[in-house]
Amino acid sequence: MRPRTSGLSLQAAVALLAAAVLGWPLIFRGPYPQHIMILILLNALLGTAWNILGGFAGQISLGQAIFFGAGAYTSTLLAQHAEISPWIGLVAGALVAIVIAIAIGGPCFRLSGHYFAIATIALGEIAAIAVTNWDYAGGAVGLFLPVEGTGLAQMKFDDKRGYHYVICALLVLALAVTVWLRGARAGYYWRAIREDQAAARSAGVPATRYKLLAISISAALTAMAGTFYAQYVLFIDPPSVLPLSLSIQICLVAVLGGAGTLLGPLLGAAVLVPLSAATSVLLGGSGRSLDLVVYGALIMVIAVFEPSGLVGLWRRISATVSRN
Amino acid sequence: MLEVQRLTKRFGGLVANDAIDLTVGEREIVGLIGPNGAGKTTFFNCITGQLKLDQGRVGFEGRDLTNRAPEVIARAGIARTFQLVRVFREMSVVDNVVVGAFLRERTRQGARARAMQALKATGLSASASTDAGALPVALQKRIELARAVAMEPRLIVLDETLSGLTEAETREAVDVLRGLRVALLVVEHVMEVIMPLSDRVVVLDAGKRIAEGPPAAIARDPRVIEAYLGV
Repeated sequence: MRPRTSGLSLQAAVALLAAAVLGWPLIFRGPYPQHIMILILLNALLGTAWNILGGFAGQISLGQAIFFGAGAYTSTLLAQHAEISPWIGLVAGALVAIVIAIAIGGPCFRLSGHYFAIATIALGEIAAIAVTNWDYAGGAVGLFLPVEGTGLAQMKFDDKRGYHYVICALLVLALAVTVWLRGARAGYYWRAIREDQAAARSAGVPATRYKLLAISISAALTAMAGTFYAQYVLFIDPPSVLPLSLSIQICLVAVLGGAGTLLGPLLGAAVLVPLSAATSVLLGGSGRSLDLVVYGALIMVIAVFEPSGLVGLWRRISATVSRN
Repeated sequence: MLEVQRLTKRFGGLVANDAIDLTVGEREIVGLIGPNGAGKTTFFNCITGQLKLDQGRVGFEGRDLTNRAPEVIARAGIARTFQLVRVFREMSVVDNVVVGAFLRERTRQGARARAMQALKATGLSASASTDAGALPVALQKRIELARAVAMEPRLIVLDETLSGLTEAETREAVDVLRGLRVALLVVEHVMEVIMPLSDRVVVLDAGKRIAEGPPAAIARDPRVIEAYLGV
């Protein structure tokens, strides 16, 4: 059995952490620390969404940017051409992403293991090229978001605090969905599929249907993050919302933190985002991409020494501490 | 209950199963034996949907299950175990069985209760919260059996579930199987294991059905002796 920290101390730690996150923009008034925290929460949301498909159901997706882009573009196009609220755009983007996810999953779930991952990379690249050549969606030039005033109804805010709480709410939604499904039939079926699909099917698990459920939920949550991103940055183009590097980063956040665990993607985002920011502040600007080299090396060190991610490292440390 | 008619499966030029007929009745225990390479596992995989048959028909309780998906066959009431044990290694023993139990239960509580019953029936209650992959193979085989039991099947097909067990483990497993009160189709290539358990034995050799009958008669059948000993 896994070593368990006592229930009370874990609950206390989570409550403390939640309070710190909620209070963050009230304590740190500067835009930069507020921006970093929003990025952490955004990545935590993306990692949590990836985790449902990759961590629980074991289907490694390197094409999550497709869903992120679907959310960003759907809500932005709706706002631009029909003056539709981004909140409706958020839901519409999620629905579009689900349709795309099912279209991808139908054929691609016939592939297993690495081949599924490779197929998602290819589809991500196709999506980026397609949008780049799609004039209605701004093509390579991209789209500016129309700003018709600020406030919660517009999902646009004068300072970063509003964005902070919107992304908090979306993250809580993603975590709640994860907790709910993890304990339900879907969670058991996903883990069984991840462990051994043939044995799972013989135990009565309709594997394809449950994999489609996983990719749909993952896509919907990722698309919501995309809509949020568009409101936050107010400009989208293929290199910012559809790049392969985004898909890889989403996967990294979850895997580094601990795939298949609830807190893994949060931990991964909390480490990766500041790490990437610090290396680029300290080492960037030389024109030699030294920051990316150090960033990559640190990721390799964690991956080599703790394959089960930071959550695994945390469990080992807390087990050692409680033993002494 | 299970009616297999003229099941034929070819791999390229090799006829692994040649027009095999087989029936299993209500609560009957049927042994399927044959030397290595006789086509026993292929036959199994055709019945449970892992392989597509080329010709023939698989009927079960009046339904046609020919070439249906494994999960459809499972829902129809046929559970199976695998020759090389296939448990969900990183899930606990009880969670392995819960996966099977969800076939008949909607809620987690219901599935857990059903899984605990299946663990009790297979003598695994003490290991419920251990990771399945951490247990020895004999117990992993029993997890597969418990998972099958939790699916509330009408028929369980066991692919060499008893082979590789010690004598004591085999006796225990046989007791467990007798206690299940469902129909069993048991594949073994070790005759000693299957004879005392079965009501009826079917013998395969080189893809063909060469004999069928009560265990005592089969053990004396010259064709069977020849197939096994090559004399």
